[in-house]
Amino acid sequence: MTDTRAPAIVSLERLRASLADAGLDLPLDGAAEHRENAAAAVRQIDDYIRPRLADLDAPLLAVVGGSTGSGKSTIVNALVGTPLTRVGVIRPTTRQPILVHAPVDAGWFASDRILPGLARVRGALSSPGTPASVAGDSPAASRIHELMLLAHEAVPASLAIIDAPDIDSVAEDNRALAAQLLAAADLWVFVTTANRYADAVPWKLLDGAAARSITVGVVLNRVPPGAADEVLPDLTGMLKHRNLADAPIFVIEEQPLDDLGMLPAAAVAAPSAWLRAIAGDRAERTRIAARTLGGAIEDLDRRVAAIAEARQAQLDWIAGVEAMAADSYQAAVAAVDEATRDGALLRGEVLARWQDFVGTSDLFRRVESWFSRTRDSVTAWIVGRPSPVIDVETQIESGLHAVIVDEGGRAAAVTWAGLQRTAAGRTVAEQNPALATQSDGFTDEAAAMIRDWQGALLQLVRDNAGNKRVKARVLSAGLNVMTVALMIVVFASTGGLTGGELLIAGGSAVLGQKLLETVFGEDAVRRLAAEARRDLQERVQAVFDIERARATAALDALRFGSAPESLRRESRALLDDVRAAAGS
Amino acid sequence: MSVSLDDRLAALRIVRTAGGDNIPAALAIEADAVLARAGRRRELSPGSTVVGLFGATGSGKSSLVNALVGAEVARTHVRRPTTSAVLAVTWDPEGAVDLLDWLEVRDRVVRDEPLDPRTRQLVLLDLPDFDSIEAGNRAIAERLAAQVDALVWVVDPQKYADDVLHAQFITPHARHSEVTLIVLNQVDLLSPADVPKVVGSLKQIVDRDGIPKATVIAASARTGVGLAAVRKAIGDLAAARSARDARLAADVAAVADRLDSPGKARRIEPKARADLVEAVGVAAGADVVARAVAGSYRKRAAQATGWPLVSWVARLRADPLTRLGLGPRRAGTDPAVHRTSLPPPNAAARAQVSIAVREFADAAAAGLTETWRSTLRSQAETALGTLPGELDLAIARAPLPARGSWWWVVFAVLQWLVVLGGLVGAGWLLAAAVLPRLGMPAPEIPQVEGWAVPTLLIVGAVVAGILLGLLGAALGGLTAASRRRRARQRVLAEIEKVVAEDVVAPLATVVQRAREFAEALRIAGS
Repeated sequence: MTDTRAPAIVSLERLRASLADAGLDLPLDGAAEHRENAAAAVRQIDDYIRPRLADLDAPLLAVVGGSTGSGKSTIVNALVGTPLTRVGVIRPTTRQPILVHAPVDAGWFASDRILPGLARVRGALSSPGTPASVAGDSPAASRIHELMLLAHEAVPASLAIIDAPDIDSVAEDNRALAAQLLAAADLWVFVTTANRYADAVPWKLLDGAAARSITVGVVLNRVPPGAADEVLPDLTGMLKHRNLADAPIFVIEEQPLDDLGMLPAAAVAAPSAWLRAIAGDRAERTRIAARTLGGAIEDLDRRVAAIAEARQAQLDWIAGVEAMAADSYQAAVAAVDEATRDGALLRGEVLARWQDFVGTSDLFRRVESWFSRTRDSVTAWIVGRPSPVIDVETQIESGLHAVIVDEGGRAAAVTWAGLQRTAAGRTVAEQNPALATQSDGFTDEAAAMIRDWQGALLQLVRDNAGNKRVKARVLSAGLNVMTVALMIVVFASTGGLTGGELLIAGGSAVLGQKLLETVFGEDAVRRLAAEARRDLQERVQAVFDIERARATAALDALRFGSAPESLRRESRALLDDVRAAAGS
Repeated sequence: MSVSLDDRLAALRIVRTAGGDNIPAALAIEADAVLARAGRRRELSPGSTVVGLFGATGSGKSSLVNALVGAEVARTHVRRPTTSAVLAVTWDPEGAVDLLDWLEVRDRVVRDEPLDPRTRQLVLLDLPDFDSIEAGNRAIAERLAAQVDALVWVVDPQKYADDVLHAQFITPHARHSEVTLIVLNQVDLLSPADVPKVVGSLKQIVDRDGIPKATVIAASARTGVGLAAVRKAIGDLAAARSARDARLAADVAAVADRLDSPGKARRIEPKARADLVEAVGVAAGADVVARAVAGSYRKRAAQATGWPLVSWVARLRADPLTRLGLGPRRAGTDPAVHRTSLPPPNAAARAQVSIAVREFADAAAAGLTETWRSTLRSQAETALGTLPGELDLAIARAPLPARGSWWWVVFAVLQWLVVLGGLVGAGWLLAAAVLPRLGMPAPEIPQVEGWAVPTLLIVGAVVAGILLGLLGAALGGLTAASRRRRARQRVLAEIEKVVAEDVVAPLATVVQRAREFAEALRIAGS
């Protein structure tokens, strides 16, 4: 038996590991629910599926569950025939769950085979004659994660009973624990009352039980005298309507409790007999256990499908945000490229200065150039202003720098605005406030990048001044002048200038080109310009890639988790293995 | 409660208009619904008080209504859920008709014997449950929980701690504590000793719900225990006639509680504004224009005051201001239609403007929350669309100091006098050389310290002309520098006007809106 189950157990462990790492941290629509769902699935595997898969013959676990105030504890006490657990009028009552079992079954429950998340405490019976209102432990909130074990002769062998907390009170811990215990049980004794049987909350749980083919017995407690005839058909109809037609209904009339706060044994005779009959029949026990296990695994598969979908939604969202960030930074790269084409960066000032430097009309060229050079060096000497070539160079530098910084800021703002559009994005934004603007060092990065590029240009010019003659020409015009001329040619390349501008811009750029061509030759200039441009593009791309990587890094933590397809695959494998084991 | 309902509603209206898109859609709808409901409710039966009995299925709302009224007006049954339609009990047949129409309550019972001797203007509603599997019942209960003037939560010993009741109904109405009453029904099912314990436990849970001093009345419809207290409490609410306004005020406050504060709006720093103007001005070409003004002045000064024999050369050079379309001859053209020939802003200038405007938007957003910062940023982006064209016009409008100086005339006259002197000298010499040959008497050439006077005249003219030219150039340079500073100031002043109108004002409006929003939110939620 164990051999045929071995593959199923391996598959189960795999699925559990994947579920435990589902990666549903983004607050997308319904993600909280799925996160809870995944946690519940892991708990159910630990609490129920794993131990039941390992041993179908272990004692059955019957959970007595229901609404607050429906009298669950009173019924457990009546079933055992002695006050075990505290009952009372203060809602919610039961906090610490109590598992009562036959003394011979003690071994099955002392270990953490089932419900490993709950610590075990061995409880002692209250001394005979203790009223139920003070029986057992006082309900302390801190003890909710302890499972009290009680051995009692009145419990049939091979069937343990758990008194669960309520499913619907204001105490959130109670509700969570009740759900956990209901998920861990083979058998439900569902307690409701005449006042409550139409409540929406318990029916939601019963729908779940029907979906998992759990064996359910319904106790209709606190029925006012004479009301049973009215209520019973109504309840039967509702059960049938919800695919729970098989569930037996046990009616208990509203009746005074005895001095110890106990219902008379006769009141619970019917449910007691039902439980005993199941406990006494080994084949029936195995059938119930197998049915509940099968139902739980099928239900698990449905849940995994939903969780996988939720996980996919998370990955899709992350991919969407990344694409959005990539788009805005790519747009920035394109914008910088646009701004460094067809003279957009050179219009006005820069060209005017370049003009001043190389483009003065021939008539005055010699005089002027002598005069202005002298004047410039005198001014430079007095005022400390740089020479005109350096001036043009600085103009281009600061212009290019402004364009890159502006586009970096714009891309960051667009990405940020994109994040603000969704709740999940807002959380990411909140955790990464730095994404609102370009990174602190971006201005310096851009400046350094431009300096590096200029350095590379200088090197390029120097490397291309191969033979002595060219080298001499380069030196006579000045290395700086060559570099600036190259920049002008790069930034002026491809037309698109209009009107009078063309004359000036084109003219000066042509002058720059002429200057270079006389030194290097026509082909070399074209090649140099293309190389310089490509170099710039690569550097710009690299700078923006670093900026964009901040957004990617912010999303990295959210990326960790199981792949949706592996969740689905593992769940399918588990189903197949369990069916194969059942078939053999 | 120092704030009147009118003020509160007005505040909520301001919150809506000032908040605009910064209010989440769901809350905007809710705020509008509160305003609409308040408007409608205040038109209807102002004296009447509508008291609704809400509760879980089986808690005995209908039984309680019957017991309170003293007649079997509502159907009670053991089958759950029992009541699916709302029943209204009134004591004032005429007054409440339109009110009940608004509440969409069709089943109406008019009673004669008043519930409380102080008033007949009371409407008692028996409502369907909110926790059964009938979703329609819950919808009715939710709708009327938003419409009634006073809320009576009917609970019973079995269900008083249900999560649905507390989390989904009492907690969202925590602000309505003034018009809230909690009745623990069916206490006959408890032993008398247990009643105070259960009441205590219920009070504790309600306290956690957000109503610290709730009135909890233990009652039993079956035995009649506590009914007098329930009647009195309901009668108090109706007789005071303040439940309606208190409820509406609580609605406003509840919506205000759920809205996020916009943060603390600060005054926009003058420095941020000055930085913006400076950066935009530089990018728009304030320095280019200022330099052109100086260049133009120097050029014209050189023309007017230079040595006449060479100063004509200066005329051949283009006037830098005219080249920009800002020359002295543009007088008479309308700057609004006259575009300058300033080069269209290059990519770098646009980038500088956009960096400056974005920085300014972030500075203006200091202290505000993210949503408001986003509003400011998008407002800034809008401004960036129109700004460059406006900047060009601003420069065209700026009154540039382009006129000449009075001393040019003096220099010009002096220069021509000097030239004249030189010509006299030259003529003199010429006459001395030529006239004797023609047989005329040669003019006498006096000597000063061994130098011939005509020669001195010529040499003096040349030297004086050059010196005058240099002096003029120096004076021109000094004046040009001051003209340059003045031109820059004037251009920046014009740009400041544009920036103030296109950027600062719209952003300041948003900041002001945030301030009004915060203030109105404070009033609405107080």
